[in-house]
Amino acid sequence: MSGDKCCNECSNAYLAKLCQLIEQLSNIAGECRKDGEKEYFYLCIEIPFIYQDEEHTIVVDINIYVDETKLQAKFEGEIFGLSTDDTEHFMENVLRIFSSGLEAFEEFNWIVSGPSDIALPMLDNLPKTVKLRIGRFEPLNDIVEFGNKFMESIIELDGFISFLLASFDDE
Amino acid sequence: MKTNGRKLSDLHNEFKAKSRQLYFGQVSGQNRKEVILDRQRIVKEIWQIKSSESQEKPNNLRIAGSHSSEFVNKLGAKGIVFRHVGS
Repeated sequence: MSGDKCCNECSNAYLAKLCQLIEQLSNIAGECRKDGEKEYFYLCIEIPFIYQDEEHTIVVDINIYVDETKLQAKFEGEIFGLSTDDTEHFMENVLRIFSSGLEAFEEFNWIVSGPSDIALPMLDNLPKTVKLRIGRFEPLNDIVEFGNKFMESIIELDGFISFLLASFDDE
Repeated sequence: MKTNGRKLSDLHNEFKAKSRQLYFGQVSGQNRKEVILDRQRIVKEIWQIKSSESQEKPNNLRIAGSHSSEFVNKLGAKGIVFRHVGS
């Protein structure tokens, strides 16, 4: 995944900074993309975990949009690849987290949204792969500071996902 | 509660340090596996503390749409109370 990534032209200085930063990270690939005239940064992150003595990966896609008029960057994306034979047990634990409110998530500074497919407890029709939408906002200040915030957000995303994964073997 | 707060903070910091090691430290092989497992151990502790705290509060989960009564009963037995909305 690492190596020949990014390095393409990002016209926005903040996005170019992200491009530069992910060069150091072996588990992240990304590039500047355009949606019409609007430029955004696409990231694909692999988060490793060990389950039943084997390494698995949770994949997260994130798009980052900067709005310099609002001095704000929007991070939004999806966690997917949450697939397990023990889906029912996993879903139960995800529901348990939701039932305790969002407090559990706030520590990681990511907002989880759109979990309609998870909120419906349809035991006979559980998806094999669970998908969660995530998002957060970060202020656009100094570029270096923005870069640091970005790195912190990745570590916190990692923490959030690991927290969810802890439910796999919760008894 | 204060003790838990301190413990959670310590665990979060420990977890972040391990994540930085994993992401920036170029760990590989058995060492990589150990770092990943360390992270999971730490977050498991966080999970257990959070779970014990949430059991002290009444759970109230809003479920929209259809549902399986078996599922609801099963979770209900574990202390999760559902507030049904929709059909």
